[in-house]
Amino acid sequence: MNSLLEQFILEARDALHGIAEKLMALEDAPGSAELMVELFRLVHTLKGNSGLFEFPEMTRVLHAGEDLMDSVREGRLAYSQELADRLLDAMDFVGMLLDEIETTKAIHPNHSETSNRLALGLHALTPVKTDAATLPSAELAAPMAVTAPALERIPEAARIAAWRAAASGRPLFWIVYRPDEESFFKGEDPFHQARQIPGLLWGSAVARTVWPTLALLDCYRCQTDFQLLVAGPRAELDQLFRYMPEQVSIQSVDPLALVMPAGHPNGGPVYDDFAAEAQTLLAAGDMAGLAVAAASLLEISSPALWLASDLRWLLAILETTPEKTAVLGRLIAALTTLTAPDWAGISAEPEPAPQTPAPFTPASPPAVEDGLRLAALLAAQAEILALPDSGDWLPGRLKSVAVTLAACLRQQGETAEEVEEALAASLEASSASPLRNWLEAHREGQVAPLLPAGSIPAPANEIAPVRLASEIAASADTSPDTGAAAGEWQKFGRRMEDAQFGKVLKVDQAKVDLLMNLIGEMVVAKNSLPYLANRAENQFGVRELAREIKAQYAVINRIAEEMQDAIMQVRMTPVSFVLQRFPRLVRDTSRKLGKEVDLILVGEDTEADKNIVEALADPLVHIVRNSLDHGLEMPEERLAAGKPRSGKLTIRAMQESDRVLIEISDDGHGIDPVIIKRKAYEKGVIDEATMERISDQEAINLVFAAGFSTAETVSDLSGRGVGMDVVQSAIDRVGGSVTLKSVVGQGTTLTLSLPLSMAVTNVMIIESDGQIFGVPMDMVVETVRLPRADIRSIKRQKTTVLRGRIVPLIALNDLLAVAAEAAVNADDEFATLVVRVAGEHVGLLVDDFREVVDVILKPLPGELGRLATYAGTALLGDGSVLMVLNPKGLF
Amino acid sequence: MSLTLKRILVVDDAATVRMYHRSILEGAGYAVEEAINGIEALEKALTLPFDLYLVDVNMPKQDGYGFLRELRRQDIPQAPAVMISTEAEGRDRARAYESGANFYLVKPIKPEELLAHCRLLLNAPGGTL
Repeated sequence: MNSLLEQFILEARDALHGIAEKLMALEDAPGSAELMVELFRLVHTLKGNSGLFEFPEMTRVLHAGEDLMDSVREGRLAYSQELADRLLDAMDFVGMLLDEIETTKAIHPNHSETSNRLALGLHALTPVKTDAATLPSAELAAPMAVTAPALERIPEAARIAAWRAAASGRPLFWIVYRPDEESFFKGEDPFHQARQIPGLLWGSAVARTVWPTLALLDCYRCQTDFQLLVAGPRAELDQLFRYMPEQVSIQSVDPLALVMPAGHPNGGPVYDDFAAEAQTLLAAGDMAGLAVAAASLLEISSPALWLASDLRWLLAILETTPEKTAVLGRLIAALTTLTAPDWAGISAEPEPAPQTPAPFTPASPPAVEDGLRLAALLAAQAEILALPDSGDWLPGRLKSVAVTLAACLRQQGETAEEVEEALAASLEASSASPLRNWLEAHREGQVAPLLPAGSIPAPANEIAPVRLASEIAASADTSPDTGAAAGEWQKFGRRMEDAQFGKVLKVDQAKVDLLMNLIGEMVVAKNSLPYLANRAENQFGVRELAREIKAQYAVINRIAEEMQDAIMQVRMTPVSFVLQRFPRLVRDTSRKLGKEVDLILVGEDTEADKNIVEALADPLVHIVRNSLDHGLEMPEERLAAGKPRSGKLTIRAMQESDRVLIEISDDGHGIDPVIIKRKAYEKGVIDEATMERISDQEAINLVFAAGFSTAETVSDLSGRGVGMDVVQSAIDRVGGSVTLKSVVGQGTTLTLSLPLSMAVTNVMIIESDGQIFGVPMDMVVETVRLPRADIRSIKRQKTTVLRGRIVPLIALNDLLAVAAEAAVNADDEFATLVVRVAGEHVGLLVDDFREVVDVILKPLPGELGRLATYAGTALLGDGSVLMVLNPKGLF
Repeated sequence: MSLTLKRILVVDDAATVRMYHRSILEGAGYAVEEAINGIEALEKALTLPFDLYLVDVNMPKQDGYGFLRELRRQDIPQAPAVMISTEAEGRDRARAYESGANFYLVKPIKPEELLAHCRLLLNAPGGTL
């Protein structure tokens, strides 16, 4: 992938994350102008960057989002929940597009519709800007004359409707929409687009050329033009067509141009009489009388007559704009001539100037474009010089203008001496006037010859520079040389490698994993050095060498361990990686459930191995949904229980020695052990005797039993038949554990304890019947030497009392089906390893304890992997293999 | 770096934009330097003034307007500055000009557009006064 695109995706992800964060923050502080500005900045930057690529779907949505945030930022629109929802939807969409771009390097055309829908949704919230001068409309107005024949095709009823619309203050526009021939392939729907036009009064589809015969017709190309009469604010039209300005011409229509009576020219003296009478009534200002007279004449006339049409117009105008007496007068006069009234001299608004239609001209040649650019540059300098002489940076400003002017002059093959003189005078006087005067005197003669006649707007027009700049931009946008552009693009891609990159290095995870494996083997391999030293000393009797080997070992050991740490650091990821999704999830879910929840995240910067953090994601989502769905109560219920209206959900991450703890607590109604017991019994998870016997804590732990789900009803959130047992097994898989505490009425706390890293496991080596085994240290509670006398038998089960607690004892030899008895030491004591299994302590009688080592635990391969007794194997320093036990699988 | 190359400073907080401009401008034989905000930009300009400044409006710490004012306050050879803005900011062109910009271009800027303006503004030998 092109590195610029990669950079864009990287930054865009950050921006999206930032946007979501800011939106969440705004929920808490809806009035914060600072957040608002920051949010706008992010959307704005993202939009700007997306514009560098050809992703119209993305840009369209972002643009709409930017407009919306702009309105909010400027206070034209209040921040609202709905606004946040729509923005979040839009940003989700953009995120999805990013994923797609990353995998397929393009956006599927299917998304065009979604993009349109989201953009329109955002626009619907954006107030229409009233500042007409700033609208992009100016640049869209490719001149195209509205010819009378075109308007004549519009049925009279539609024209009268248009007149009424115009009379009510809605400007009329004639739109010629010429969709791109390839538009079907771009996922555009021209017909739909045309139908979408707000205030559409009348429209027609016209073949662009004479239709070819059916055999030759390429139905996959759009050959249709749309001609549409529209009443409505210009801004809305520009909005709708803002991504295809080159395909559309929007022309303002003088309502009078629509007043064209038409029909069968059949007349006689009776109309002359009526005309005379009507003129009298008009002159007397008796509009009511005129209306009655016209209506009664219309009633007795055939509607197909030219006369009837004229009368209908007369009535429509009387009804809407009776003050336009001149218009009425000419309509009445037309009754006698039976020819279309001549509107010359009446129209308040200027007639659309008849111009040669040239809306789809190709981009101008470069010389002309440069001429336009120079003109725009000079116009900008004139504008700068016309500003008030303010600020202590005025001299610098004047100098920069002079430099710019000099550059422009040289461009035209002139010297810059005059500019320097004018600048000197200006600096002396601390005023822009001398430079300005020089420029004004100089300008016209210099610029005009470069430009084609008629294409430069009058310099007096204040808006001229803006229009120029934007027109140039527009023409550059539409230049059809995509092939050349693509070529250039490639060139940039190559050059990009020379450019400096940011500080983030993206590395394939497989490479880091390889490094991790290698250093793991290195750590193990270096452990062979002490053995080697021992052999050198004992077997070969070279003590000197043995000492040197040990000294070298110390050095290698230190370096290897540091290296291992460093590589582990590379894989360390903050848990915020998975926590960042929760504000959104909690917000959406709680809203769906009608609950109010405050989410508190603590310790997001706690780090753990990437695999561990990733493994956390699904269980956490499940737990949080459970809390929202079953744990926290509805606001009324909470108030009734004397709790604050909003529930509190806390996710706390912290590091405790070599474990990461994630604690999810809510202040909901907690888990009632009585209900759990009953449910478990009903579902056959426990029998009656067990139900009577077990403690409350044990009862609560039953939620982890397979096939247990306490939800009364299955909601669409949690409780999809997937219970907490899935959470438990997912956490087990990465060597973690789950504990659940709950107090009825006060809430539930779930604690996940996970290793910092899965790469290295801390195991204790134990001996049993002459063999050694490993036991993961995180399961070991303590090691004790038990005198034989302290062991009692209860119901044929060996037990002992340790720290006031009854601990069952089991000989490891029995579990491993080894015939030998557990060995005792000289003092007749059993070596007892107390391990924690499913929250209970169990004593394992072993023959002896050995050291604790760090090993790389490798799962048993193939069929052996199904042996639950073993967690895996590890290679020891002397090259021997250590079988590591899985105490949970022993019983 | 050859002394005959025209030097352009790109001031923008977005790395993507800086890369984009750099790729275009270096391809055309300009010497490009980057600054991520107005403060860094001013430091660079004071060390060795540039022949052209391309300045983003919206930046953290100090925005484009602030930077240009500071730049114009300095007693160094002044050079044209082009504000890189959006349509919305384009409305504020009076503010840009007042701050010391000489022109503005509206994002997204096509390579040929950017290069054309650089060519027009940098054509002159020793283009500083």
